[in-house]
Amino acid sequence: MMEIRVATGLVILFILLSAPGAVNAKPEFAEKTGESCTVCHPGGPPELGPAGEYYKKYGTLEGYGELPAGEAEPGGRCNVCHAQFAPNPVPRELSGAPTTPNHRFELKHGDGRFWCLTCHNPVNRDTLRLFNGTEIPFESSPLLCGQCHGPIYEDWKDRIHGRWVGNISNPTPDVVCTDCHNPHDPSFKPITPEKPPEKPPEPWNEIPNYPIYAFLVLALSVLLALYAAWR
Amino acid sequence: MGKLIDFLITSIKVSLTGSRKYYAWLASLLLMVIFGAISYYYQLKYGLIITDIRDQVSWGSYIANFTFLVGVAAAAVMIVLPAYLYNYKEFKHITIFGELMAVGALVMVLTFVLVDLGRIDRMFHLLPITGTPNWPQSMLTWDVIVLNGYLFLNLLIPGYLLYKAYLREKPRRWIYIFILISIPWAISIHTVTAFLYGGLAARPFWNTAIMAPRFLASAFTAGPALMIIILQIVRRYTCVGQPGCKLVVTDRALFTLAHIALISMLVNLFFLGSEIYTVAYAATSHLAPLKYLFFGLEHNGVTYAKLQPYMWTAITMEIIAALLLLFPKTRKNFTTLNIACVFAFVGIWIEKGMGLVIPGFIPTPIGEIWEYYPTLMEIMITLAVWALGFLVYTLLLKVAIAIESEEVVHPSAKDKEMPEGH
Amino acid sequence: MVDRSRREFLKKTATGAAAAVIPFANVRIPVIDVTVEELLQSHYKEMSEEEKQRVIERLKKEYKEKYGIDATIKTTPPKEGVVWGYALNIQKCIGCRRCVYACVRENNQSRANPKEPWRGEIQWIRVLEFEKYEIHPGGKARDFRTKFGEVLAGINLEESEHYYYPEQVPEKDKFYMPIQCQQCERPPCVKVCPTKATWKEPDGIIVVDYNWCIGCRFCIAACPYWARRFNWSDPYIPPEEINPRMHYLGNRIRMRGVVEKCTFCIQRTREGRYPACVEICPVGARKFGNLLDPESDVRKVLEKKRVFRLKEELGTHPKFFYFID
Repeated sequence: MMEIRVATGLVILFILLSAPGAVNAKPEFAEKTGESCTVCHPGGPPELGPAGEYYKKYGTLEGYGELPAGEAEPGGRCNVCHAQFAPNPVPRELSGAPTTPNHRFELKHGDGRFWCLTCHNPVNRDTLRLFNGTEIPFESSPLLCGQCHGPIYEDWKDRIHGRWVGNISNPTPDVVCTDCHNPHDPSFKPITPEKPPEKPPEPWNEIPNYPIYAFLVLALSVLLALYAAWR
Repeated sequence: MGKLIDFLITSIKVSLTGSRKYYAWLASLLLMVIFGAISYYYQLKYGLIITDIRDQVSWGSYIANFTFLVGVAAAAVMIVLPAYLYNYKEFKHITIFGELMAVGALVMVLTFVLVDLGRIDRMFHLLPITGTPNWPQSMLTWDVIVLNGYLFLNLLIPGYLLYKAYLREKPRRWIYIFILISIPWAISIHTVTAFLYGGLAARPFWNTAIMAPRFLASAFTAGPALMIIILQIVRRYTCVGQPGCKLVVTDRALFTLAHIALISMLVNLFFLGSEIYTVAYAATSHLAPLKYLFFGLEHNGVTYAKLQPYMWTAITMEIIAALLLLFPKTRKNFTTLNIACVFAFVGIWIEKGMGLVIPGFIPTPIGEIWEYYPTLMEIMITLAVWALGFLVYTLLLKVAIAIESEEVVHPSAKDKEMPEGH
Repeated sequence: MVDRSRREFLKKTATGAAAAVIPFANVRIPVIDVTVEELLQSHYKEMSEEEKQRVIERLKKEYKEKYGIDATIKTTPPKEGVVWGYALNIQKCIGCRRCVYACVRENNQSRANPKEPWRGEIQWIRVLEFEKYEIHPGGKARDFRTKFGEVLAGINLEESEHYYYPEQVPEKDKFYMPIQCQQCERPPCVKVCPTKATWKEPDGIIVVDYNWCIGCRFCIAACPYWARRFNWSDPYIPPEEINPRMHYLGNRIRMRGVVEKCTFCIQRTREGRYPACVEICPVGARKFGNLLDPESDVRKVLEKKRVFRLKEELGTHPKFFYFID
């Protein structure tokens, strides 16, 4: 009898003790490192918005609109999680997406021909991988994008492609593709246009009864002229 | 010097004395001028926004009337040329009316230009020494030179001749040099004004070679037409026709003027037809302003055709005037002659004024259609400037008539005969 | 030679310097609302350094009194070896008009004032919307007659729309082309100005001395690109929106009755910065640089892309190039 009571009590104790743990159900890897992804990315990965979003943040002229360098980069923290488990090289739709915090989007780049590890480096998630296997940091994303977008990459190097602010001889450096283009959904979305020009203003007309005065003067003038002309 | 001052003071006195009807006429004009000046005060205070001129149509009623009146001023040459180069006697008696009409028209021309300026306080920038005139590149600078020069010539020549008549002396030979200069000068004022428009590649409606010939042809119609009417008024209010009158205005002079107006009108209609053909046959984008004038333009379902009725009226008037002037029966009948003159004058005023200046801006060089219609204030200021011109012309004419009819004479020359050459 | 220097001496002393020493220099003339000193100031190109400084001090005081702002008004001269050029990618332009309003803010252009509606707004840049194509072919041939059809594509200014305002841009079947002063090398506006109030600076920018312009609007009639604007009444700018970094020939606050236009943001470019429209374009359609520098953005565009200019046949040689990517 006593053993059953102790066992029940231990079970209840165990359930009670693990209840808080159940509420904060951490994924396996987070248990190991002691952190949750949402500590760094509370709302998911930062959105690399279309150009319209970009204008909202950086498009004012206060301080003459400096473009920030690499602030939109998400890099540096991916290995926190991905170092904990082996990469799965099979191209697939991620089972965790869209609910897992970092993969909360649909990949709209490549028309179904790409998946994550097309660009991301399977062995080191804080870097990107070129066609020949070279590892490059996120700040060098133009090297990666330029592999397919060759003419645009050449144009970008000549400052023909892209948006530049600051000094003409040395505009804001460190601006890369991903500062304007969302690599997971690169097409620019239509934005709301600004208002059209106003039609030319109506003539100033603040003299009350001006037409009446004008008519009177004209009438009087004509009458006098008629009188002068009358035989 | 003393005689000159006497002449000026007497002239002023003569111009300001007359019958009650004369005062009524002066009052009529002065009333318009004063009201216009008051309206212009608001234009100075608030800017050209009181008009309907905007960036799309940046010249309006003021410049349209300026363009037309330069032609009327130039038309004085049509009387001076036959009189002095061909010794046409009939015209010799009426040159002074033509030259003074040029003065009146030039007063209107210069006033219209000043009224149209955005910053009239800076007009000294146009003159040498006080400003930086853009000579010889800018046609407006040329215009300032030729218009003021022509005004000077047309004040000097009649002024000197009247002064000499006032003293009963023969005018000295040097005045004929100025008279001869005034003949090509008159052609030049209207050519320069035409070049203002014709030189602008941005406005294909104006950028044609025929601009200057068209301007001259229409000027030599409108000017003589106005002259015919004015001479008839002069005949009615002065002693012309009565025995012993020294003023001579013959019917033959009027009919010759009508002949000149006829030829010029036919040439003008031919030039107009030529312009219409050139633009309409190939139907390039240059057709748009002409289409706007006669048929209106359509954009996004809206039709813009404010000037359409005016243009058709103008063409009809011009054709009727040409026909009335063509046949001797109607040309020599004063009723039909006057109708023809009024139609010619008004028709050309429409065709050359609003029918030339406004459609040059519609559509804008980058394709926008925006219509212009003068505001009431603009119209009143325009009428005021016309009244000012007529006022100046009336006052000058009063002096000229008084002296030419030998009613007024300097006390020292009371017993002298009027010498030859007047 | 002697006459010329004497005339210049007379001119400089007759108006400019005299304007400062006559006792009633500060009297404000009513109605036209200028001081005697301002009325008698010289043409900018004929001002001595002292006169320029005097004028700038006067303007700064005026802006402080009138608007409560501390403006810096520069008279930076052009740099040697610099001729500015502009390139606009009409493949990329989405017609959002951000450039128009960036320019309005940067260059202190008049805004619409609802309380005084006659003080209208001025926009130096005008964005045109074109149909990509419109095809209504004509009928079949019959004997010698054919029904003429309509096939429209490309830049057809007559059919352009200036007042478009859809929900979103770019619309699928439209393309867009902004037009501003093309800074022609052979500017018709400079040729026709009767007072030389507008001229071409050595670095290629066409500028206006707002205190010399008489407002005759001949330049507006002469410009083939409808690039110039006129102050039909007093410009209205809310004091909090005034850009205090000004250049005398650029974005200082104008007065009624004078002409103004795009100056390639002379207050920025002469300090080595991009114009406001170039910086704000969200899709990077605008490029700007020194035409004489082979490494500049614009020279690269000219090398690698096929450019065209508007109304090439008029021989104005604009320094504003359009290209398609």
